[in-house]
Amino acid sequence: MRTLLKKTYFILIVQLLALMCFTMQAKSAVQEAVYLQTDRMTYIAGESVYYKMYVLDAASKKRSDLSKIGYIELRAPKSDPTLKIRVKVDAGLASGCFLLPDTLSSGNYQVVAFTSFMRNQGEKSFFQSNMVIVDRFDKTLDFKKIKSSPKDTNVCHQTDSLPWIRTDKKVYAPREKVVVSLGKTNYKANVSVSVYEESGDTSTDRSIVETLNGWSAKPLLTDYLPESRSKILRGRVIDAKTRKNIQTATVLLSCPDIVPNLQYATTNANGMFQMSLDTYYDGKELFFTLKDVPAGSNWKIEIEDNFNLSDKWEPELMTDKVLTDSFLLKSQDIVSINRSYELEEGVYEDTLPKKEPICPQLFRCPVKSIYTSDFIPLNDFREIAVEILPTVSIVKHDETYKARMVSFMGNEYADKEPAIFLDGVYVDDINKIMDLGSDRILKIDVIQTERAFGDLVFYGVISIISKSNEILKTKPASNSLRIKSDHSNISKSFVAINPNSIKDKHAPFFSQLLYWNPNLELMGSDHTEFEFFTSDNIGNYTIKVEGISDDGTPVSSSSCIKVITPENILVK
Amino acid sequence: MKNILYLAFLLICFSISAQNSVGTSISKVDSIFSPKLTGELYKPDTISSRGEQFFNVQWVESSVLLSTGERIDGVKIKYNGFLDEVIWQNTSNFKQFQLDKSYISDFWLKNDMDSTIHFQRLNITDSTARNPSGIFVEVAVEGKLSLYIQHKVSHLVDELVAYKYFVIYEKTPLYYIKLPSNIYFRMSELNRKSFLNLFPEQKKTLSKMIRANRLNLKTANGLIRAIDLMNQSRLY
Repeated sequence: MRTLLKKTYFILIVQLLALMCFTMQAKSAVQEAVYLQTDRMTYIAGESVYYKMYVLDAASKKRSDLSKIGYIELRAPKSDPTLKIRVKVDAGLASGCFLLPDTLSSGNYQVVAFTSFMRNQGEKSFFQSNMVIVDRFDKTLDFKKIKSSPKDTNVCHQTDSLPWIRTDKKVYAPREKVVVSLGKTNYKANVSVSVYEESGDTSTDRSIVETLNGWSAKPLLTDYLPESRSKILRGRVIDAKTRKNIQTATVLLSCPDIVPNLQYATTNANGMFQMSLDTYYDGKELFFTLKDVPAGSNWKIEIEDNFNLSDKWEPELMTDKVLTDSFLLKSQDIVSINRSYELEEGVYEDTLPKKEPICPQLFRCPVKSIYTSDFIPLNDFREIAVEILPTVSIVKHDETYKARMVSFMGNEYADKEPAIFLDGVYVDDINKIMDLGSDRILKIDVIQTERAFGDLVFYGVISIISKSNEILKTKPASNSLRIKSDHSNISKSFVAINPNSIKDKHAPFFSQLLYWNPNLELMGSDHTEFEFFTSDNIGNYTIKVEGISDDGTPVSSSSCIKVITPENILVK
Repeated sequence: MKNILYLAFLLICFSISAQNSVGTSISKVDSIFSPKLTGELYKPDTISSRGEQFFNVQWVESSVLLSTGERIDGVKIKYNGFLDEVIWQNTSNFKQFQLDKSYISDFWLKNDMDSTIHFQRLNITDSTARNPSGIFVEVAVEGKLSLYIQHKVSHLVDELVAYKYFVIYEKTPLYYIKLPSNIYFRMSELNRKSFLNLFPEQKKTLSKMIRANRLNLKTANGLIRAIDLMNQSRLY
């Protein structure tokens, strides 16, 4: 008996331990971490920021294949984000560039990078890095530096981590070719390489090794699904007066197009709904509305901003101004010179193949199209229905119109109203299109039969394509919402300028960014070489290599070169 | 010893399940945001009939590959050989809908043996077809030479029995052999002669092969075996 009890206790303890182990592992197994490398840390407003985003599995540090969408935000202290950039992530990597608006005021800025799935770990898990942006015409530079411990006062340094960076020389003349060799590593890795003029301020610069070593697992929520296919839009349906959550409400989404298109979602117990927005919706006007809203109710749709950060950034600033002004003034001059000589930083080119977007069409069956130009001019939609749409019946009751489809037999009407689409968008009320005459309508498609779109059933469809996007002129109902969808940032790459290719030999060639390659593959067994040219800008340049190996080892290495000239050609 | 083994087993199980959670997250996303089937209401015939319009009489859980490349799993469908259309039972309202044919690229019906029968939409113009969006065929053999079977059901003359009309349906399968040059041969009757006539240059070799393998070309299985052997022996 005692032995049996002992055994039972033992099994229970083992099960408890295993359960604890499982819970801990499950929490860490599906967490993501993001690291963002930018080409530099100091910019002049109007310049481009080149970036490389690494989305990693937080536990193994290997590239994550889960999230396909990443978010980058730029914000000033105590302000809303200045820039919001959505990027496409492919096998844990994303690269491209974004332009800093000319209108940015001088000061400290923070770059925040994350995936939607990381919201489960809280905003503290987001990647954060500081940068300095200066207005080209601001010569006072009246802002204070962020308080942080300086890491290295030596401007030019060589790290001893792999891969070794070797250059053919240490000191170069302007417009001279530089050949860089990255030594053998015992692993394959994807790295990004930046060669930029050292500003002397390295305090805010955190390498991928430091960032990932400082990363710790956070309590895990399950509210946010990974954006493993496309952007996920989250929203809520509430009662506008009481702010009570509305359950099982059907939210419809469509956007202007030449074909009726639809997507829908049903709210859960918290009034929440989610929709997957693929590239089809990029940059389009999104029309949200609610289906079958009870009469007299005051429901409202609220959309969650995927870029939303709950807290404002409030960095601790130093008491006195310590920024290296001379460097910033020089940077301003270089940008001004390049602007006046219309010298671009580099050549941009698309690197990712474009995937054809899929339109969620309401129907894909043959329909009979009616072109209004084939008939005599008709004043409004009621006349159109009477004269040229024999299967549609429109009746007026209490100053409002209602539409019904005539059945195939022609002797009875459907019980419910058909779905009305104007310029591809679901319109919740036929009265909104009653003013449209044949002078404003191009084409009408009518489907007489009852149709299914997933679990939704429509009792016929009337789809109107107008001559000049009439849908944009309609007034949205109180339970509808119209928002503009953002674009995902187009992947562009930097191509270093070869000074020999500049036609005007007397034109100045100043650049603080000599080379940027976001996707350099280290093969492990062999050296990797790349080359670029120095510019007329003399100074110390850092060669920075950062990346992640196939087995999840963070790679960070740096070296430096000098560009000198006997004559001081820079106008200070 | 038993206890140690038990402990090890539990730990392995749990680590596997933890690793699988990535896949679970993705499949959860896929199931929530799966594309929507579209179609028009299907009203089953109420007229008394003999024979069956459907390839599968019962609703079976199937997978549908859409022409957009998206896939939907776990939908209840039947293939109607008379209309050459796929009928979907919407489990949320139990209504039946005839799916938009041009939206379907492939579908897989589960049969009793727990295996699947693969159907594909071929863009073949059939003058007798009601819908111009091609025909649905069973993929019997895929290779250099492919064999597709259209499980067509034909409406024969109505029969009057005891003052009541019965509609008679009969299975009239059609066989399509696709050549590497994308040319299709259609066979409505299965026999050795019509098969050999399709390949006049290989007639002798094919006759030998049929004899050696004792193929009965009057049956669908015999034809499938013959096409398989032709692919294996690189006869074409």
